[in-house]
Amino acid sequence: MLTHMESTLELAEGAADNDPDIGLRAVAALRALTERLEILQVDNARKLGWSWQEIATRLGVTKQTVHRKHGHRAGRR
Amino acid sequence: MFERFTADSRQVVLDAQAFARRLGHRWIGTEHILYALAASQSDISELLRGRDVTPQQVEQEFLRLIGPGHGALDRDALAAIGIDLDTVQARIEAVFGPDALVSCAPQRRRWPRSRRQDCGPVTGHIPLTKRSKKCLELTVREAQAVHSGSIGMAHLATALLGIPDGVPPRILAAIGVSGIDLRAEILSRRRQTS
Repeated sequence: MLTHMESTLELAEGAADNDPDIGLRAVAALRALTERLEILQVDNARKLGWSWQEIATRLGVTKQTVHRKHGHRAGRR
Repeated sequence: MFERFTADSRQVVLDAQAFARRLGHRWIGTEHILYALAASQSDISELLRGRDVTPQQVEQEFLRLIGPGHGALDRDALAAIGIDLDTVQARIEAVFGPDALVSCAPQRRRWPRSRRQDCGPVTGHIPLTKRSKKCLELTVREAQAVHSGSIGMAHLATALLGIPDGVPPRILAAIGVSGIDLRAEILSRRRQTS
């Protein structure tokens, strides 16, 4: 039976082998992680009174983009 | 129904919910309960882990069988590119509180874009599947059968392992163990201690 470390190693080796299955799964997982971090950080910034413009500047997008994506949650203005 | 459940067996159901959230699943199935049992700190999880039924193995086989849901945090896939999800999770939770990362799963937007509150993050309650409800009913019966006043981890484990259908038997088969054997082992161990 594989231990957790071994299975991780196996995956890492898969990535080195250019296996699309592993590479694509990593992309999807990373995107999911980013999405969640963005939700946490944007909500926190809004709670602290940051404007959409200030948040957008840090994220490197326009304020419309940030507002469209996050405006429906708390802190709508 | 939950009143007579012990604190740790109740916690297993809560952990199953957190696991479902992390994987972007919008249901709590018996497979999520199996993971939470394996991940718990108890005699039961020790026995499970001794038979290779570790939370990592359960997650790996689960994802192989079912696949991640929308917005899943896939621990092994992140590890493949050098990101340790546990470390990330620990740092985020230190700032934003327990379960912050797992409970803020993004939801698919409705079309046309809805302004209703329910398109926010999945922070609320995720429903139990029919089989999970059945599993909790069987847990109560397992406790009644041995005239136990409280409903504990062992009752939950024997109820879960006794269910012949659903995803857990397939996960266990992939790991190379039998739910029936594990169940018998838990029961015989309990007989020895009582």
